[in-house]
Amino acid sequence: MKHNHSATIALSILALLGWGLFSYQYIKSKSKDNYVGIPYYKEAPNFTLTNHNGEKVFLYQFRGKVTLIVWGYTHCPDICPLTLSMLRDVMKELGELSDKVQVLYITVDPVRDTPERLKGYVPHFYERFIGLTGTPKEIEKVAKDYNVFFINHGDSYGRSESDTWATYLMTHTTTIYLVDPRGKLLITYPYDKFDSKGMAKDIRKVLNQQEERN
Amino acid sequence: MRNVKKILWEALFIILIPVYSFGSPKIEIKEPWVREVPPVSPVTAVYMVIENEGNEDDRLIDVSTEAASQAEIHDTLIDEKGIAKMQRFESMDIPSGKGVELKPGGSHVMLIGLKKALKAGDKIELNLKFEKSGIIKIQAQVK
Ligand SMILES: [Cu+2]
Repeated sequence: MKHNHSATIALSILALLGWGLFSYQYIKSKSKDNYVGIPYYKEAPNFTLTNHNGEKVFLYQFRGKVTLIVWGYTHCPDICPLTLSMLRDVMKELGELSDKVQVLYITVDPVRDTPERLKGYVPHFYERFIGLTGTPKEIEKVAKDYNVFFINHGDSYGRSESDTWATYLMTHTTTIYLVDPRGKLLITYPYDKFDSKGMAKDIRKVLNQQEERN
Repeated sequence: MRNVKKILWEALFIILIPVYSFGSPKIEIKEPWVREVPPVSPVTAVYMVIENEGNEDDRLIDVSTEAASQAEIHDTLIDEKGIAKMQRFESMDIPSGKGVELKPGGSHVMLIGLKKALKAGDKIELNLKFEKSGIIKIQAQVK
């Protein structure tokens, strides 16, 4: 009889644990913070930069849309084309909803990436993508505000002066930042979270929440 | 006497077979492709799988192509903070039985100074030079 009693207690505890685990998973799956990317929560610092048509733009003018901010440079052969192609896939994935998304590509190489150069580069991946540049000081400020790191990797790259292709490479942060329609820096996507389907899913979720609020 | 000689020859032959026929790398290039980049870009990257079915290691030591003024062996390294850095290597090991995958966000052949803009569907020819296997010519499609 005593044995039976402890068995009942043990079973009850197990049942409780199971129920708790189930509820936790359930709440987690229903939670609005359950994103593919990493939740960030911060007011997105505003900035004013020059777009690929030579016009001044500022971040706040994209309020009402989901803004995706990426960093790169046009002499980048691997990671930047990969990022922009992936973002094009996100737009395709979103279909009509893509109208509510704006990609901003901020150069970390403002000396070479003039508005003209960005114009020949960024919209090539997707017509509505916007390339942004500025003075080296302006770019430095925005990068600092967003905790973005970049460095001219040229000197340590070991090219001699006589190289016909005088150039340098940049080392830079590849993380994508998602700013929600209210201007909150809501989610970040480090490289290992680059997944067009997952990002599109997050964006749908963010836009739905916005609808619910309105 | 004649028999002894024959046996010796046979023995030598048997000893030499494994040395000759097994001790070499066997390189095969699979699915080579080049990333299409906007015409203003002077650089792009080539990706592929380099397989080595042989039982000896090999090394990729040089790449050349008419499509660009330079072709280099690179690796993109992305650290835990999401910072990407590209590094140039003099050569790339191709271990036997394993092979190496060159893929976006990792190892690649970087083409520098493209002679003309490459469009999706174009094909370029590359010469891959291996330490032991010599030069292997490949066609990589732009996409
Ligand atoms: Cu490279």
